[in-house]
Amino acid sequence: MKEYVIRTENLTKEYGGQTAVDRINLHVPRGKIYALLGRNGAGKTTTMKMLLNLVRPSGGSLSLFGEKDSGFSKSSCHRIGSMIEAPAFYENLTAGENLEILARLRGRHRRDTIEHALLAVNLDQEKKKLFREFSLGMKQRLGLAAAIMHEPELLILDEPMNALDPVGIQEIRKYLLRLCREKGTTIFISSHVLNEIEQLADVVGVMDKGKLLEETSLQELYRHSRRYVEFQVSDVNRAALLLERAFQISDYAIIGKNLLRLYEKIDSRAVINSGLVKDGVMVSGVKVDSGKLEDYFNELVGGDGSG
Amino acid sequence: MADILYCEWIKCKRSKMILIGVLGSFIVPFLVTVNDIRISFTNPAASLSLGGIYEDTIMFIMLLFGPLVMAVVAADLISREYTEKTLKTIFAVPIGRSQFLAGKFIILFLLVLLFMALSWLDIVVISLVCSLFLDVSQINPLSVVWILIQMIKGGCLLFVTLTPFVYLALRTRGTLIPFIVIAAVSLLNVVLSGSPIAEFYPWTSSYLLLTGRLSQAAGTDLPGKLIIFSMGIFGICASFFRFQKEDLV
Repeated sequence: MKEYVIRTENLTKEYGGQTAVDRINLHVPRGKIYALLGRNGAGKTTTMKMLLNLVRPSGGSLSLFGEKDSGFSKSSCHRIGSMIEAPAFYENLTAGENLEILARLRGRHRRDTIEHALLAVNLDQEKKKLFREFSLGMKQRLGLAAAIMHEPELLILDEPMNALDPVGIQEIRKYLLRLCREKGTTIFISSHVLNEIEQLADVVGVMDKGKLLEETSLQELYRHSRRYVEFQVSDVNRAALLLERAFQISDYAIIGKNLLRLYEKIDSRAVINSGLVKDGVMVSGVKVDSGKLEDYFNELVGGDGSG
Repeated sequence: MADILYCEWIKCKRSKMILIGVLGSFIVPFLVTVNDIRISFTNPAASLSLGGIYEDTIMFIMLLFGPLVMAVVAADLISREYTEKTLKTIFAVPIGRSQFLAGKFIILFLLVLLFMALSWLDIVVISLVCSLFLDVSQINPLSVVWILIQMIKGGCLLFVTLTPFVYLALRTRGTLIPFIVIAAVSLLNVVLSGSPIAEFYPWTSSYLLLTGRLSQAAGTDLPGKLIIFSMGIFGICASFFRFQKEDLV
């Protein structure tokens, strides 16, 4: 039986009659990276805030580390590291002083934990720099340092790659993967940037308008998001007829006035193309799509895939 | 709690608001002394004394400058946690909301005492400097210690009457509204000064209590004391109640 670090049952949050999170049932397995996907306003941050007891649920229940409603217990919170929205620290203090505050409040203050955390996110040279002088990317990395400083069992990260440059994103991704694989840290991460998640997550939950639409493994998601070849043709009906009769293709979809999508015999696209042309169907474009998570996400939330 | 207080103290580092408070504590005794010197030049009968400088200083501090400066400091202690969005970082640690707010009240109390102690130091130093060139009476250790005790008492009373501004800062999550309210309160202090109603107005009655003039109109100081006490209890209880039920959106 799978052990879940986070489990929610019909977790709900309403703000003045508006439902921000609508009866979601999350299952975050131990030692895995769980990505919560959704467009802006989907309810990801509110969900995370409820897990951290920053926002009180309007209904339902949650359990952390197998303890019911432990979102309100101090002992389980000590086992969690978090970064919600943009990292927030005291502007007039240095990176080191900000981390010292958190370490002292946590009650397990060891000076080298601050050094290690800063080193892990490549900020060890910036310890004495004031937070207000940090760039957005540096602030994001400091937020991550604060989250990992006490070596938590569970990391809750709300869009941690925001404002990072490509190199920074790669570094953080590698670090999170290492943390999960080597130390067994469970990571609950949210994002609206899909290709970040594709390279990171083991399990994916898709949220939209406060509802959890899907919760599945990444492998399962790839199975849903199939490869296809797309033909842009002059006459889709004639082309469809030809596909069925000459090539015995039945797994296809007419997408628009001129677009035809084939989910089988993708490798025979050159022969199909020539067959279509021979039969008098003008082909103005052929595109192979590797079947990204993005398309499946769009299908689920009915959007354009961006947050 | 010691760690919470230490952290609150660290947060004050390089804080402009605290710097304003510290500089503000020097201004009143300085201006009062300048005015007293001016009066002593124009009216030779009015002599310069440590007691005189203290009396004028405590009046301006308790009725006008102290509430104004310290209410803004109090509002800033709270509102910066909202404007810098640090509450979500702190409460995810986690620490209890009551502990956190208690830490804020204690640090505010210490800052008010610091403000009063620095004002006292300023009174003493300015009087000593003036005594090098002018005739300043009442400069003796007993007076200096008595003034310090009075300033500390004044600090305690000032703190009690400042607690509603913590609540106001929690409600408005900024410094603007508390500043406008305290400006109005200070103005009323000036308007009511000398009026019999002043004994029932908490910010004036705390000054009257400190200077031993609270019972002059009513015959007893009990109503005034009750008003000051109720004000403090309201400020603290309302703040804790508000903060406990709040979502950190």
